[in-house]
Amino acid sequence: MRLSEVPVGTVVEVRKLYRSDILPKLRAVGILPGVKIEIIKAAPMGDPRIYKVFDKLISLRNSEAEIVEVDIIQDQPLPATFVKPGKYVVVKIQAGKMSRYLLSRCGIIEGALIEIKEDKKIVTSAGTFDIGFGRLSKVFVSPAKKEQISISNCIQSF
Amino acid sequence: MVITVGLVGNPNVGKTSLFNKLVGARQYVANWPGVTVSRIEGATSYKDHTLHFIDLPGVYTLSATSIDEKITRDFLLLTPPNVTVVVIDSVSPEQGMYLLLEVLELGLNVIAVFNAIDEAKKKGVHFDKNLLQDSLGIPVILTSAHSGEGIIELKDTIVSAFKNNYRAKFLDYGYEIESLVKSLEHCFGEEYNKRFFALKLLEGDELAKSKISYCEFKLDESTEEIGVEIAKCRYEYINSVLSVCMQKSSAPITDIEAIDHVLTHKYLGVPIFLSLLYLAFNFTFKVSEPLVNLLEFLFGKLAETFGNSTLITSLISDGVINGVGSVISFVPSIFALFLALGIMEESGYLPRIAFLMDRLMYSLRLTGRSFMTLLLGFGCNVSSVMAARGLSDERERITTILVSPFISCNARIPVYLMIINVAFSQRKAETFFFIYILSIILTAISSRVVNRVVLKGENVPFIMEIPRYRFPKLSNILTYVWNRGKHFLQKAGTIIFFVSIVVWALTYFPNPDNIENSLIAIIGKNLEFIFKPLGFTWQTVAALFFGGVAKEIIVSSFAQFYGSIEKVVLHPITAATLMTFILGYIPCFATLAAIKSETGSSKYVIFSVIYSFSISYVLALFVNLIGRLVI
Repeated sequence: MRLSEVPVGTVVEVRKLYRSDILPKLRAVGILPGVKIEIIKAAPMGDPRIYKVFDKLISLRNSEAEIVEVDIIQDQPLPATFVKPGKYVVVKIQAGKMSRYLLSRCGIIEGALIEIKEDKKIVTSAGTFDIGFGRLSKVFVSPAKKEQISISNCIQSF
Repeated sequence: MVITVGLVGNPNVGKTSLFNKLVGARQYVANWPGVTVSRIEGATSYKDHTLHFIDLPGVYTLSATSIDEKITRDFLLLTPPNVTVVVIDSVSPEQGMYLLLEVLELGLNVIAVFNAIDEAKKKGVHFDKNLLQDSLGIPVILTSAHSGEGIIELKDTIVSAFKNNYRAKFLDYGYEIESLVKSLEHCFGEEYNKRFFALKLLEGDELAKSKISYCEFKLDESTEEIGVEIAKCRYEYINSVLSVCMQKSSAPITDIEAIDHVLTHKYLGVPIFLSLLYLAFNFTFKVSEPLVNLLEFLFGKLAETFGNSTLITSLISDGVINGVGSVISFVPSIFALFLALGIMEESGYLPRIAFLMDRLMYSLRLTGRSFMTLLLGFGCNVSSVMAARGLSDERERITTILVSPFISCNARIPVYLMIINVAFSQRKAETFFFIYILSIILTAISSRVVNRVVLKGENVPFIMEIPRYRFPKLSNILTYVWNRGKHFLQKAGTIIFFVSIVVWALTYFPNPDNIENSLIAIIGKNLEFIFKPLGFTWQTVAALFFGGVAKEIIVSSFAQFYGSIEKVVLHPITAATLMTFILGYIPCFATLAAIKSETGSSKYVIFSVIYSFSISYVLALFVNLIGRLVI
């Protein structure tokens, strides 16, 4: 996956740099194989974006971030758009008040147990919803552990 | 004894603040030979020595691709200073230390300075200085340009480094790379630093490739891998040093980060910026207005005391005092604008604006950095042309310079006001808004034209660091304002002085009392045919001719030709045509002089005059035709 395609809020590890004129500069700011990079935020229209490399904030255009091949680090909360179907716990919602409110009405709040279907529909305690790609990418989830699933089942059965 | 000291560091590392702290007011700005990147130097005496500091452009690596990087590398390579000070940011030292390792490979006499140590302490970052010195093998100083901590120690160390000449050991890259370096070292002549060039060659550096003289070397995929391997080696070394010498406790989210979230917000960021800018402009003009009025009043009084009854007194009062004075009067506005910009830049807000605006500017083949430069043009085109020297890419810099004159500057405001009062007294605000929108559209179109016709090339990369917010320091801002503003006094002052006298002579001779017979009337009448399609009279033509020097002169010329401003008559269609034409017709003399000095070539001056004249003429003609069809 290219650095330019990774959603905001995730942490990635650089795997490879492709040939380019700006390579020496990227290397010098610390964008190197093995280095962890966090995607901090995007400018209007999604380009350029700010990345955290070591402790510095570096702005790169998507056309420049494209030459960096990365792997998403797996044991971190990921945007719901990036995970396989299954049961997950909502860890954080990276959105403003408005989106948070709308999501909460679908039962998507921090700590909630949700199920992501094959067609990206979301099953929550409030029902089944199709919230769209944009909103879905703001919901960060971790795989649900066994006991969490059983506990929530208990609550539902009460 | 004079000791030359080069200051090297990443961009935004606080190098310039440190420089200001070290040399105080004793500094001057010149150009690096052959290019128009500012070379900032300064000197201070310390213990029988004169420390001569050179503030080098901020870079991340000595593998040079941009002008800034070339200047820094060539300076260190060709004219190595007695002592090189590498400035490293204490809060995030990794990238700075990478540059330090590259500088050490040049075999220079190096001191490492960990700057902004006060901020680092606040964030819970602590360094073991002695351990750092031992691991790096060079003197290490912890400083703060803000509080002044470590400054004396740094000066002491510079003097002792000059006497002792510390040379660090080189970083060992491991058997594989080291043997490659060994085999490549003999490719370079004795005059070069062989190890540095061999490493740069492995990193794929163009300069190193061009310097090979004694052997064949083919660059293939594997050498690219080695380039990455070398960089990895350096960062591994840096991390191992820092893991021992730096303690870090995780800092909580501060208020500033919360503010930053709003200031660089996807939707709110731009509106907030525009309102802040409006406030800043409003404030600076409000502050400078009384001063501008006072200066105008003083120059008026001065001219009055001389009178204009004889040839000499007329030359002094009408020519020199009125001509030069009308420009000098704007100095407070210009300094106030730079003050506002200085605060934005010092606080770290400006790079964030560049980040927000980059997408839009990219479609105009510019970057977010040129956006701020162009905004300055609303104050005065000269300042935006001069501020363009902060842009690192040559093509972007030239484009910004060439499109700057289409930003509707301060000097055009009185002209618009005069025309609007005469012809559009019912629709003042709307007309004003329209002309500013037109100005922005014209700038955008011109940027595309310039990039298509004059300069062809690759898009400029936009690798930019977003610095931390800092509380701006008054002394730094004042230095910033003075360094930029004094240029205006020097350059604009000399050319305005000269042209004012020429203009005065043209109105004075052959008959000072009858303007219809003056040389300028003859010029106006002879040029009238060019502007017949636009419907301009000889008075308008002559005023435009005068206005080529400075746009404000159009107003005073109209006043002279018609007796006073109240007596000026303009048909609405002619007025609209005239306003459109004045928006861009030719850059004023001060701007042209600035274009000449900043680009160093008359070619761009000629292009600027011809291009802006023709596009304004076509546009004005268009407005005229539409106007006649509508009414």
